Amino acid sequence: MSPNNTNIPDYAELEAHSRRRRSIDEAVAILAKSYGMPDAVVQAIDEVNNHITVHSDRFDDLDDAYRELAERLESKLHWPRDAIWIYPQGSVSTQTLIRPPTSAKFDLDAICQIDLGRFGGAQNDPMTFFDQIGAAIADFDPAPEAKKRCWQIHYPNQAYSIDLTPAVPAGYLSRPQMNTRFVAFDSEPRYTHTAVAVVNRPTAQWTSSNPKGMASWVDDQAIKVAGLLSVPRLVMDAVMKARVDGLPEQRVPLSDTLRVAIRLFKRHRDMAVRRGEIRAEYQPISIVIVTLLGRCVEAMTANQRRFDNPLQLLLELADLLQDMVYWEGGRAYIPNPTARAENFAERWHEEDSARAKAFVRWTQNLVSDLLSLRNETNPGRVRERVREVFGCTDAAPSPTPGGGNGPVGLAHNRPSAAPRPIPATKGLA
Amino acid sequence: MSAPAPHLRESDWQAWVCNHPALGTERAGKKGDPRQFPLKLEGIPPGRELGEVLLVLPSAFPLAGAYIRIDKSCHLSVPHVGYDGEVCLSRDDEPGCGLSPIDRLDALLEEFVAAFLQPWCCGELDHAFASEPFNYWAGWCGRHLSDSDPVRRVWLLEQRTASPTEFDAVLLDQRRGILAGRDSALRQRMIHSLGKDTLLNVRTLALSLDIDLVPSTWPRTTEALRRVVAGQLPEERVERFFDAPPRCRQPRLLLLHGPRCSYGFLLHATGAAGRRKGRPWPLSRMQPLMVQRVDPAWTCGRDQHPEVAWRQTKRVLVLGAGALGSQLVDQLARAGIGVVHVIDPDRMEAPNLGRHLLGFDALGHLKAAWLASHIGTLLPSCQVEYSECCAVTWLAKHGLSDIDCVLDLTGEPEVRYQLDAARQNHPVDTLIGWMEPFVAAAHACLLPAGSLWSKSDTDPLHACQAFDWPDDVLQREPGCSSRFQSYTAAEAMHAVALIATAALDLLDGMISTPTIRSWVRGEVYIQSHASTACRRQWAELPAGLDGAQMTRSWHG
Repeated sequence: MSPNNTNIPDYAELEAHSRRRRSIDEAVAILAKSYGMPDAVVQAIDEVNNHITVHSDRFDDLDDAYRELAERLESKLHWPRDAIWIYPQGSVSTQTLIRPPTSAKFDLDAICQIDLGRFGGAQNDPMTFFDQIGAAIADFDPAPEAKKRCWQIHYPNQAYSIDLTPAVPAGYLSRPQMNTRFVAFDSEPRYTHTAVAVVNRPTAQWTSSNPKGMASWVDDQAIKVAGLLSVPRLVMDAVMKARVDGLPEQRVPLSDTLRVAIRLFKRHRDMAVRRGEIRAEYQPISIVIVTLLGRCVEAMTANQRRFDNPLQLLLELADLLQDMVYWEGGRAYIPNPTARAENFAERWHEEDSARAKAFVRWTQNLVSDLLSLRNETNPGRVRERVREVFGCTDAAPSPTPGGGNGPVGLAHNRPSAAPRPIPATKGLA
Repeated sequence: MSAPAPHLRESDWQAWVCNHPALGTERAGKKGDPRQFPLKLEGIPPGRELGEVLLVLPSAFPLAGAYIRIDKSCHLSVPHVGYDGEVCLSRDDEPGCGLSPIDRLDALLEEFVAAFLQPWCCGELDHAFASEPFNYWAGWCGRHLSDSDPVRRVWLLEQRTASPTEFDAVLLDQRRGILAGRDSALRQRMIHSLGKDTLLNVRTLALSLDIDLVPSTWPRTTEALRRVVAGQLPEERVERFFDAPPRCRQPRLLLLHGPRCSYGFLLHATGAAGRRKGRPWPLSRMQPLMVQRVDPAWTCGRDQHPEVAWRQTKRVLVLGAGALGSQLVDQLARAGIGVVHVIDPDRMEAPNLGRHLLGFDALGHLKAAWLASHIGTLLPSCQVEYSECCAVTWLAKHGLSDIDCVLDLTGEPEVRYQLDAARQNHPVDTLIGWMEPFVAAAHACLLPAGSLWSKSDTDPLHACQAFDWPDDVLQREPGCSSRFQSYTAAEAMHAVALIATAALDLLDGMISTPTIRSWVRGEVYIQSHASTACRRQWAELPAGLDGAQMTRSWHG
């Protein structure tokens, strides 16, 4: 496939080739093991899924934050309110947001889409456009930070920060203005109408993106999972109805296996960083995991694969990840299925291919861990092992003190007056 | 009129603990044991249980502090819990804090609920392990220690590096500690300092981590360790380190350096070679080890003094190893100087003992040689060399080209003259330090490279002193023509401090023009110790001052 080839890789063929190769290895390696998954493992996986779920009350005022940002742009830049559209992108929009394994705040991604063409006289220069947005939010305290494509806005009293990406509809720009430095992959036509152009600050150029298209694409792949699993379609239908525009429900059942896979694999990646197995700066970015898993499902569907239970599917997905990366001329390509000219693996060859190596290392460890879960025969150990693999050894936090059991504290305690402060004493360790 | 002392009637708090609605029946115990009262808690969500929670009153309470203890099994799974189950609160119960015993107990229970129990149940403490990685790692290593362990600790000679390093560390068998670092000269000095021991090479691999490890992420198996290493090294190096051939004789140590804590893992030696006399190597388990930094940046400054790295590269010549010189060498070593070369021809005598750094065991021996050995043993981060000749002889034979700074503490005019001549050939930063009789004053003349002590044939020392002294101020030793200044070690410490700080300022490049710093005693001291001294005008002090430090420009 040459740099100017516009054909996307044949993922179905990649999947079939991978399966042929792996089935021989598997047969040799695990002759004595049962292929059936203990129910305990599936149950434990579901516990992990719930453990890493972010309760939506952690950002239940996000709508207000978006509205406030839009009003700022309207008042400070005098842009019409109906030309300003702020909406979530990334993990929030694809229902794959997970708890971080640290006390760090959530980074919630949002697009700030401005329909410049509707009020004319607007900037074509990407850096000027980016800076205009920055000027409108400059009075936040602390001041927002300019990142590669977004403004990071900190909310000191909230559990999150917002990465606000300025964007314009892709159709607003002419073709030469769009960055076509990378291999030009054709986007699937049904998603292109939502494509946008965002600013790539390091190159001072517009570049393509399609967060709404990506969310739709993930939805479409998630529906296909029902065809791979022996799971009633009604269950999947119920899952899809839970989705609302703007702030999708973040709880997903195990039957929504694609989203569960994305969440679990992201969590496994996060834990690999925490354990020192891969470096934080080289960890596979979430969009890589999302795209490759979506491609896996797409390919499996095309090849009419069937799986008896979610864990078997998870293991196959993990094993297939590496094979879904397209290589040509020694370079890796993970094309954005919904945006022309975006390669999610564009940085994999920097720094002695550190990111490519980290991806390979992580997927090997992921497969090894999932295999160890499948092969675990001690029922008492299964749950513990699942929790170890996904770093959920602490109990799930209660959303409210008492977790519904009443207030936490001393039983039958006398109501106390305001706590008596202990007089300060000086002491050195 | 001061407030009355808190009411401490024995019966008050006794009745309080027995009747408190949140405290259960006291657990039975022997006389003199701490008293333990179960706490009745409510609202604990599933998965957040803490086992039995006790209010513990030491037998000396209220003179000793009370505390809360939970099930020991919570150690390392619940933050802020010690190995014995004691809950570490930011505000512990302290006797003498001004509250009555009952108020103290009330405050302790409230603190336990507000600062520990509620945040724990909400999940707000789940990431608290990351705030004290060293303490929790110490707890984990402590669990695995036994009296028969062949290795109990690692002493780390160097700071973490960005890229992986592989080298041979040294196990000191009797000490049961591994000295890990690539600076072989420093390692040798440390081995010498620790005394005679059997040495064994330990193959060591050191990696840096981006994030400190916590109980949930510590590698607990060799396979988990291997994964960490594989994330940074090619497979062939991983195999070479982990897959030692059968009957491998050499133990292996893996060091993982987090930003704030280093983690040691001793990998077992295999086969019969693993058994050593008296203390077998761990044959079936990987042993976690505490890693204690002994690098100069830590021992000489606790990472708070970045100038230590600069000082480690410096070579200082100290002329004179007497009362002043010996103390200065000690101060330079403690401040992180890399190399000190001491010049002194004299031997230790009995009258020196009261104010010299060396002691009785050095009597009759060459001061310079024993000082080098003594400091080298105490502070191996400093390499101390010596020459047992007089300073004039040494200066005549050697140049100053490999010297970064000279400290002349001899007090001898001929040395100062020779030093000036040597510095004209090779300019080098120099400090000339001395004490006036009775340490009525002390001076440090700071001469950056290129500036001379004297611009004429006259030695300017006496002209710049704080006092005029009668001719008989120096006392005579009985039956001997030798003369000496009368002062004690404590009195000399003022001079040591003045000259040491001045020397370090000079070495750190903070002195750009010739300067003299002086410490001058106040009138009360002079009248009681040195009544024959006549204070010069520049050294006049305001009434009531016991001493002052002053700085003047130096013009030679």
